[in-house]
Amino acid sequence: MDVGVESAAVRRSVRTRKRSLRAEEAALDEELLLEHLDDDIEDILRYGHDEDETENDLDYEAEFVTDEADGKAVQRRSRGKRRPSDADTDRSAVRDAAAERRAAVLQAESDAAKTCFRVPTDLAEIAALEQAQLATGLGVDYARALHLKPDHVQRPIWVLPNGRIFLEAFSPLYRQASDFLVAVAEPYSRPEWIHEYLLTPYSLYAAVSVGLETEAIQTVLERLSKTELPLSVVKLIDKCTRTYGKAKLVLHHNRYYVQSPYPEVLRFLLQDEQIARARVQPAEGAEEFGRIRSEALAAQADVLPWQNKPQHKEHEAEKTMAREQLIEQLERQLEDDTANTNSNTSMSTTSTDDEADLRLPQRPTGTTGKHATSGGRAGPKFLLSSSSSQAPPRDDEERALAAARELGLDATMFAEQTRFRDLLSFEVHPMEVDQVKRRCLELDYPLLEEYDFRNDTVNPSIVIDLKPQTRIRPYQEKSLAKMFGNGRARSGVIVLPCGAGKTLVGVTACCTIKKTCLILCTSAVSVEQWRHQLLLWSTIDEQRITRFTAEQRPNVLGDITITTYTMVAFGGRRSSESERLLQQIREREWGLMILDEVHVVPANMFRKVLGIVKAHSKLGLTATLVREDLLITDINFLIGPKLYEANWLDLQRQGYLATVQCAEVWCPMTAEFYREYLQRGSAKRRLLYAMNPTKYRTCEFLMKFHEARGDKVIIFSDNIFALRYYATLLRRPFIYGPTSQTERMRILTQFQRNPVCNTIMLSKVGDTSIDLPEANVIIQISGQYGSRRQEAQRLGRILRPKPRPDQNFNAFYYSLVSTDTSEVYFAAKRQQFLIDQGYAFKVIAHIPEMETSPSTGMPDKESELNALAAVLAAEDAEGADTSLADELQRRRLAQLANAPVPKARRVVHTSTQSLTGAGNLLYGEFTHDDAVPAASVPPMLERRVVQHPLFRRRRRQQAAATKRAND
Amino acid sequence: MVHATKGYLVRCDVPMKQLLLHLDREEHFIICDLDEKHLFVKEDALSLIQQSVEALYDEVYYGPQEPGPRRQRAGASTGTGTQESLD
Repeated sequence: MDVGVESAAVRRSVRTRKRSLRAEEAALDEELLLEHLDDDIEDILRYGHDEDETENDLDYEAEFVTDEADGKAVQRRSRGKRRPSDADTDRSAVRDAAAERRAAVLQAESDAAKTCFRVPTDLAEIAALEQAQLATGLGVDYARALHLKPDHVQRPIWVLPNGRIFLEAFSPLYRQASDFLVAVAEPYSRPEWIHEYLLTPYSLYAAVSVGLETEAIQTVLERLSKTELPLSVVKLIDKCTRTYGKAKLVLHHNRYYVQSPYPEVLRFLLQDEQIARARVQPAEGAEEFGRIRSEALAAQADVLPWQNKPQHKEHEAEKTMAREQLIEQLERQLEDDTANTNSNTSMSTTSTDDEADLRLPQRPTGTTGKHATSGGRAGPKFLLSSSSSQAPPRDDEERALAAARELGLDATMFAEQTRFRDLLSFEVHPMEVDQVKRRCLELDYPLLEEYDFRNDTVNPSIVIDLKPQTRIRPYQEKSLAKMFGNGRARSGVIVLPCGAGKTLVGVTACCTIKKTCLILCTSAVSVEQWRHQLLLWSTIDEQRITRFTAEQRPNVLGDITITTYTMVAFGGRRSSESERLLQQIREREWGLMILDEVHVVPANMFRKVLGIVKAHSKLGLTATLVREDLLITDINFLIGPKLYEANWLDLQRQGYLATVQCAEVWCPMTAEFYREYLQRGSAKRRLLYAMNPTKYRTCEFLMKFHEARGDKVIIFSDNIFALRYYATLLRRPFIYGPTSQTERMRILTQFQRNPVCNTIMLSKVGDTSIDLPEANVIIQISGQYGSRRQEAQRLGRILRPKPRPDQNFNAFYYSLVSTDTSEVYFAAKRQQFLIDQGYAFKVIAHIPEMETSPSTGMPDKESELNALAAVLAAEDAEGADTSLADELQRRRLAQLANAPVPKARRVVHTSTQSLTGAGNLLYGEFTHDDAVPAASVPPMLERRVVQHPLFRRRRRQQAAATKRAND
Repeated sequence: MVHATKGYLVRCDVPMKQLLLHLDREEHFIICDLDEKHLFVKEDALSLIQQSVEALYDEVYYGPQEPGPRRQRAGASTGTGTQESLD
């Protein structure tokens, strides 16, 4: 049979060719597959369907089952070899082009992959590599370096090699993962579904300061991550946490000690001569380093003041339940993962608060009781503290170590995890403490400062406690737990949204520490507010609170003193009372210093405050920890790390913040204004786009609309000229810098109480601290360039929740923007902070109702032209925003104008004179000059006059003259 | 005799017309100013008009910045320098 023989021969040849093909294919596996896919796409595009479904199958055997005499078989076979038939020349040309294209892309990708994923060890290197990646235009593709775990669907986070972490908010482990990430990384953007965090040295520093260890952080991140943890991240964590927190500066029985559990760290520090000089030499024959037993510290921890409330117990119960559930869940999930690790450990994360009592490796053999809390950390009960809180005896430790060694664990790692060693320390001179801190920072071992307020016997305690009816919300509790975690007070910054109760956090901190406290605010109004809140929430005696402002200067400082930054940091000439008070402030050793609106502190002006006031622990409170310059990182060293940052959207959902609808309203410029805008410089341009008539009409319309609904409206304008012009046309009261205090209080009271007064206009002074709980609507007509902080502060004015359950949004924030001007740019920049917190800005391009309702302020073209004329006539400086320096200058001048500076020092001290009430009396002396006889004095001048001895001779001559005349 | 001039009819909104008038002072491409929303311009001015509108767009557009090393770590590169300097 010809056909049969032929078929056998053909089959054999086909088989050999197949084998060789297979060999080639093995090498070109991927490329071919991709090419076939490309072909399919081409097919689909051209012919509308996939020609041969088995094209994708690299196994050619199936194809040769058919008749070899069939032309199709030959064709199919040759398909595997890139189709040399002529009928497909044009197809092949297209395919070749596609192949070239793809080869180029693959090449570029592999190059990029090679460069990107050589392990970058340095943060700067990571940044540089990313730049290179982005520059190629392909974007950064991490798919090749990060390998997904098989159960990645259950895990909630992605970790990128450059330290960015993405968290899925819809994951069942979201709550626990976000609590952990908030402790370890810095939240960058938290909208609805995907949250973004960044691992930075400062956030890791903060994590270490609340007690998380390197191993713990790495292991938990690994557990939660969908992919294996990139090496660069592991190294970053290691690098940042290795040295931070290894040494602490502690005030213990009124002496300063540098404390550390590691003797080698202390020795390293003492090698530096400055630190060695600052050390107080130990007595002869004593140990090299003093020892402080950790049990001593553990025994003193007791319940913090806010924990005895009944609602707190509910929270506790919930938390324990949640914790149990979490542990179960994680155990189940991570069961399959045990094969990958060589040690059968199981880690569990904390449920809610990450006071970092992550459970240590549980040994199944009987040494489970060893993972005690660290010395002194048996703090608030709701923290995940394990069973034993006392340090076990020494022989147990030996047993534990032996067991660990047996099981192949590194003994040092295990020993590190257990904290029942002693803390070694050396004493430092109180005068040299600052030097020591600075030096340690330079040596890369920054000292953690913790204030042991319970054992402080030199500073007197004050009588203060929280009132029983004070309710502390869960997020406030969390933030305070971060501060007071192990029974001592840490310094740092707590970031809570405006209107969320920052003042109460400060008051509670004060009540916990129970030592003298200095509260620094930004303005006199906020001084009043703090005092009011202190009296409202705590049991302190009213006379124990002193306010130190430009108007009030008490004689002596009370237990709690409230003052402003400018009063303390003012460098010019002061009155004698202020000087005296400042001296008292300098000399006193404060237990706690609370800094309100702490984002202003890095400014040079306010930095001085920290040098003047000596406080054991510092608490910074703010809503917006952002600045437009780079000084924000200085806060880490001036005050401390960021202890807690709240999630705005979460608080909104839980009802602690009002639901706000943010909108950006576009106001097109009119012809005349835009013509002037194009021709002028930037100073005039600011004025022009603020005074845009369309903007005015929009503002008026929105104001009337909301007033008709019964809302309270605040109109913000940074530009003073625009503020006054608008206020005049709208006929509404306004407050700006030069407005006197009494008038401000009057306007604000009217705004709050009077149903007729529903709108006020504020300038920059209204950004911070003015407490207006009733306001519903904010209309912003001009702002300070691209300041994100200002936008967030202004939004904070309306964030208090309103009792209006019938509407979806109960607060409104309008930002009016003149289109086609640089205001568009600034507006977009300003909104970034709020967008990161989860607010979405809706754009309103046009309000149709405005056409039907005429404006009363600017009804026609003539009024527009009047406005334009006024703007052009105004000096450039009028539109300039008053900077802080100008404000201070003005206040200084006002002070000098109002209060006469006496040339002679009037010394005020209590004397018998003043006690009798005669302190303020002036008396003059009248001399009766005997040289002038009584008869010669004319009757009109009968009363005594002062006759100065210098004129005695003249008087005598005159008297003689009159006598001669009379004679 | 009819004089016919060839050109482009530009229909725009009020501020953009002012922009074109402002540009016209140097370039002189407007043949006739019809009303507040229409202009009649020379033929070769088209690319010029497009460029100027693009320039305006670039000036006011704010794109989101990359987070990460630049923002947080003070030691690394300063990509956002231009924005910071405005304050």
